[in-house]
Amino acid sequence: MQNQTTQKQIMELVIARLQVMPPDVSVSIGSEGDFTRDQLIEHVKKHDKLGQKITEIELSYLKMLKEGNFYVQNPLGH
Amino acid sequence: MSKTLLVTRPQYDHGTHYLFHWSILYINLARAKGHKVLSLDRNRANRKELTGMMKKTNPRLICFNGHGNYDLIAGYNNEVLVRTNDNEALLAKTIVNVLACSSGKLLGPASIKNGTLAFIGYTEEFWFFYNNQETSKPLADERAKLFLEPANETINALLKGHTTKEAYQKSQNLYLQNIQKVLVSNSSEPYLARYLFWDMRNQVCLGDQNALL
Repeated sequence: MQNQTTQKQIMELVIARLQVMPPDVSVSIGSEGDFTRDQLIEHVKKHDKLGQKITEIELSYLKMLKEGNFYVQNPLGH
Repeated sequence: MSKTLLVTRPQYDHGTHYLFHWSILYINLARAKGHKVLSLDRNRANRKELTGMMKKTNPRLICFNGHGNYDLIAGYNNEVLVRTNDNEALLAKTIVNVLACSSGKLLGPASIKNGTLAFIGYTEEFWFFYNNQETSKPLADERAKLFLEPANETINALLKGHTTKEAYQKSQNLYLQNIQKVLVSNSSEPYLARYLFWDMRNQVCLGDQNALL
């Protein structure tokens, strides 16, 4: 039951993040194809393979924020 | 010393359309530096032409643009160009840069075992965002630039004389700079940070870290 609640909360978080995207946004994901913001949201709601991937990316990002990896490593300059 | 670069540039959907145009920048740089560039454009990005060109010209650097999977790189209309346990030996004695999904996971290591000098690519899907009102002018698309400039920085760095490891680091640094750029308070694109981080995190440089063009 708790797992289901957590999953629902995660889904809502991911959808909220997607909803802030402007309408002129599209994303190319290799041979998966091209998707608009609204299409990405639909995939998250369906919890299909693409929806799960979007969730994975969000959670990976949150983990990175927690670890604080925001500095330039081994700067070589340009 | 002049080297030969082989570039695949299929162009048959939005993604490959953008890669087709963004690769022009490093092709021009390569030519300006006196290198020979062989470009397999559109339907010429097929297995037969690639194989023929590889055997005939022995390029030092191969730049793949297109789609991919863990064990393959594709060309025009998703035709498989190189696949694990098939023809990865075709990439022997070259530096390979792949702007496509996932091939860094299986094809990359397999090609290194089969003699590829170095392999720069991605271990998961490569995501890039673009402005769907600007698709007729990919090079003017500032949103796509945030992704494709770091992605192609590896090639620019190799052309400027850096090692594969340095080229990879420069690309990683540019990803990080763009993440920081979209997160500043007056940015209108902070949501892109997570996808830039995804691409940055999944980029790999395999094989000889000190290889030079």
